[in-house]
Amino acid sequence: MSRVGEHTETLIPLCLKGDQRAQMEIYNRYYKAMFNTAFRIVKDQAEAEDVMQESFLNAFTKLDSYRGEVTFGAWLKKIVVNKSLVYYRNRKKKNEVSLDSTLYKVGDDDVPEADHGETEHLAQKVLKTMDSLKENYRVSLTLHLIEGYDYEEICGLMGISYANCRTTISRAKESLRKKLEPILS
Amino acid sequence: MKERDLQDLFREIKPALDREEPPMGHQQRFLSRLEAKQSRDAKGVSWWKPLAIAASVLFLFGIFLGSFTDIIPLGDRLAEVSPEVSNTERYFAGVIEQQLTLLEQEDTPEARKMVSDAMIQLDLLEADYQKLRTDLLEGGDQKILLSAIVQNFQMRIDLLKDVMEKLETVKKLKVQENEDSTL
Repeated sequence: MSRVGEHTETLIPLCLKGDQRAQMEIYNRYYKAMFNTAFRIVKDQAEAEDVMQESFLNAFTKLDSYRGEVTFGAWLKKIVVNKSLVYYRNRKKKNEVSLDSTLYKVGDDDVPEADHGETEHLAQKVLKTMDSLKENYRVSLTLHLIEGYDYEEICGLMGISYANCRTTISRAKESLRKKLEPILS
Repeated sequence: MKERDLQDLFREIKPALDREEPPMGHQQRFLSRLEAKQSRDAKGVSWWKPLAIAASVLFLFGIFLGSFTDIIPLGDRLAEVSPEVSNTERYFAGVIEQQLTLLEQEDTPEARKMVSDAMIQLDLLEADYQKLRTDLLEGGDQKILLSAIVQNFQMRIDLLKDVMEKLETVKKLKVQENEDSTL
């Protein structure tokens, strides 16, 4: 029996019971968005996959704590963001730069950016500009402008004080604006 | 560029942001992680619970049988003394045998010591059981002997359950260690 046509709300109790088909269906519905969220923070394909899948497993185990105050996607995304930040902090401690992301960046400049619509073209430029920012600028702006968290949530997620977080984000915005100006005009 | 422009810009590009795809075969990898997790969660409770229930039933049955010892004629074979006990014996022997095969497959250095200890204990229990059985066939006190046989089975089940749980804990600790060390 396939679970393809069913609503997410009806799939959740099945996932809680350990129904594997329901769990795979939820995975198939959300993996792309969750992978991209993780990738924008950790910037490494393999790590992003690991973080994303770990988040799904984690979500299925603690599904009974999901009360439905927010959409399931938003609930799941918070888990992904949290796990990505744990990875990001650990890497910062070790100060590693993954070979994958370096190769990716180098290769990216050579790819002709034709065949994309105008929005896609613009999105790529913006993302590339974000990548050139300082790491903590990039992460806080990703959380603020792309994932749509407010200052308070970002402070909590990144584990820094409110004042510190406000300053970081406003400086990051300033820096991004400066870098975008020549590209967009 | 103004504050509002930045917000507008991101609103505009939002639909084009999720363009990355996970590496090939990610669904298969997720499915195996899901399966590994489920078998981890399910292990350790699946087989011994019904077994314990069966043992309890047999125990009650033993007491029941024991209270009617006077009216049950004694035969010279277990099947004649009590076909139910004989059937249950076969059932338990089968299940215990099956669990032993599973246990023997746990061939890690940590497990080997634990398994061989368990085997020695099981052999002792088996020897006890053979004695009880002979006594029963030779017409010993049925009430006492039947209850001792049931206890013998129960002890073997408890022992197997205990060993399996300990092995599971050791395995979990190792997985945890591995996860910690890769972080």
